[in-house]
Amino acid sequence: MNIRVFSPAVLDEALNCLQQPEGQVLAGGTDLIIELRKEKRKPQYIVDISNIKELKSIELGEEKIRLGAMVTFADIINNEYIKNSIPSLWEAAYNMGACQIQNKATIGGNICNAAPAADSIPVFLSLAAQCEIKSASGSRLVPVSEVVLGSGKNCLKADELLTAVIFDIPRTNEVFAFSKLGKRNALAISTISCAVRIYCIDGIIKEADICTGSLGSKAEREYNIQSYMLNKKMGTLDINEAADILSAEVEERLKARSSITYKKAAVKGVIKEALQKCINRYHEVQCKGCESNE
Amino acid sequence: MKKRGKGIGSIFYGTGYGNGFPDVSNACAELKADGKIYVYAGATEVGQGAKTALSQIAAEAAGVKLDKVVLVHEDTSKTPDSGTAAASRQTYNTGNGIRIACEQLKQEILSIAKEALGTNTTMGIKINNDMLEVKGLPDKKISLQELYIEAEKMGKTLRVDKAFVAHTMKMDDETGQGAPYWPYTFATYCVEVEVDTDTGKVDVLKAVCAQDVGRAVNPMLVEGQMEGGFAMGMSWALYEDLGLSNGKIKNDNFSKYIIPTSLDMPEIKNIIVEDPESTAPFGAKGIGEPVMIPAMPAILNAIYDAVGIRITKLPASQQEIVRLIQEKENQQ
Repeated sequence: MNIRVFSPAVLDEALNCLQQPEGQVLAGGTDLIIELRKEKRKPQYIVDISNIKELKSIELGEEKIRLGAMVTFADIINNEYIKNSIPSLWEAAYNMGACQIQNKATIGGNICNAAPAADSIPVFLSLAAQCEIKSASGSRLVPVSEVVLGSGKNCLKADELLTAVIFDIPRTNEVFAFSKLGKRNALAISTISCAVRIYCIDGIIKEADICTGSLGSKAEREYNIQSYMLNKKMGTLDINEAADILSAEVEERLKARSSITYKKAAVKGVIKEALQKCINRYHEVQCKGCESNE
Repeated sequence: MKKRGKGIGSIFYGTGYGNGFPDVSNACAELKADGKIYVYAGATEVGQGAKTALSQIAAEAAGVKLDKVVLVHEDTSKTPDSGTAAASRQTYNTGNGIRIACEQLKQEILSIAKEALGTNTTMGIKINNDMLEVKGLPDKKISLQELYIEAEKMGKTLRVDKAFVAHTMKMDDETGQGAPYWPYTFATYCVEVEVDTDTGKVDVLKAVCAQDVGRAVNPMLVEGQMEGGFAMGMSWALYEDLGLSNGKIKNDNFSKYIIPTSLDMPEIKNIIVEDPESTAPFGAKGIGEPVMIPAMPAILNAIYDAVGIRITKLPASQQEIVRLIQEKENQQ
C-alpha cells in the first residue's frame, strides 16, 4: 500500500488538495484507519485535516452554535454549556465508545462516515442542524438529514469537505434527551438510539423532534410520534401511548427485516426512557423558574 | 416496564482431574547458602495468586517468615512437574506437595540444629525468623546461614523432594457411580436483577456470594477471585457468545464478543466460609472455578423471579428475553 498523505494546516490548502481525484479525508481516523488496515479502502492519497485549527472550535453565537467538523466527542463531553443546555448531544457523546475513541473521534467524521448506529446523527437531526460544506469553488449549507443518505453514504462531492455543524441556541422551556440501548452499559454499539427535543409554550408541546438511530440504514425522523405529541400537555404526556405509536411506525418501516420482532418491542423501552428524562428536565426548568419568581 | 427479581445458585465442585486420572504434584524444598528456603514447583501463576498462596503455605510449613521463602516456578529446567494450573487444583494439590516437602525439610534442619546446638531432642529447638534457638536459652542459637555451613561440614544436603498424590477413583462405567474426586468445594450466590420488559436488558443490581474455601490462605486473594469469578459467571449468563455459524466464529473480536465492563458489575458482598478440609494444606481448598459457577444459575433464577421466564440457552440475550416474555404473554 503506497498512499500519499497531505497534512495541511489551513483550510484553503485542504480544499485545494481535495481537487485531485481519488482522495480520502482523514479526521479522527477511528473508522478510516481500521478500514485502511483491512484494505477495505485503497485511496491514492489522504488529506489529513487534523492540523487545521479553524475546524476545532466550538463557537457560541447570539442565535447559533457552530461546532467545527474536527470537534471531538471528548470536546463535547468537556463543554459545560453543552452539558447543561443540550444534554442530548452530551449524553450521546458521553456514552459513545471508549475514552480513547472519544478523544479521537470527531463529529464531522461521525456524520460523513454515516454508520446506521452513529450516535451523533439522531441528535443533530433532532436539533435540525445544518452542515457547512466547502470546496475550493464555494460553500453551501445542507440540513444534516440531506447529508446522510444511507449506510456509509453521504452527499458530499469528491472535492468537498464538511467544515462545521450549525444549529440553534436552545430557548427557555426547550428540553433535550438521548437514550440508547446496547449490549452492555459502556463501550457498546447502539442497538437502538433515540434523540428527543421538545419545546413547550405554557406547558403545551409546540415542537417535538424524535429521531432514531440503528433502525434502518440511516437515522430517521419519526413523524407519527411527533404529530401525536404536538399540542399535548407536557405534564400529562402518556409516554406509553407515545411509545406504542413509535413502535408501530418503526414496524411499518422495517417490516421486511428479521430483527423487527425484537426492535419494535425494544424501541418502546428506549423512547420511554428518553421522554421520561425530558419530562423530568422540563419539571426542573419549571421549578427553577418558580424559585426565581419568589 | 422494569421488574425486579431475586435468585439463588448453589453448587458443589470436585477438585482436581478426578475419575481415576493420576493427579500428582511434585515439589522440592531446599535450604541454600543464603539461609533461604528455595521451593521448586512447576505451578503456573496465571493471575490467580498461586505464587503468593504457595509461598505462604511453604513459609507456614517450614516455620519461617515469608521473606525467607523463594518460590521457583514456571521454569521446567529447574522445577519438577506439579501438573497443570487447571481443575482448581494448585492450592490443594501442589500446596500439599509443598507442605509435605517443607515439613520434612524443617525436620532435617532441626536435626542438624540439634547436633550443632547440642540439645538431646529437636523438640527443644525453636525457629525464630532466621535463627534457631534453644528453648529457654535463647542466647544459644544458630542462624540458617550458619546451619547451612554446619550441614556442609557434615556432608549433608538439605534438599527434600516430595510428591502429593490426590485421591481419585474411576467411576463405574455402567452406573456412573463412584467417588471421582476429593475434596469438594461448595458455594451459594444470591443476586438481585432488574429486567426491562421492553428491551430485555438485564441489570444485575446486587450480589451476595458465599464461598467455601476450607481455609483462606490469603483472604484478599480469595475476594479477588470471588469478584473475578462472579464477573465471568455473569458474562457467561448474559453476554458471551461466540456466534458459531457452520463452524465459523462470527464474534471473533472484543467489539462483538461482549464481556462486562465495570459499569455492568453490581455491588458484591463476599462471605468467605472457612471449614478446614483435613486432607488439605492447612485446610485450604481450591476455588478457581467454583467462584464462577453459581453466578449463572443465580442470575437466571432471578430473571425467572422477575418476569416468569425460564432461560434454557446461553447467553440470556436481550432478544431472547423479549421473545420469551412475548411468548408467555401470548399463552396467557
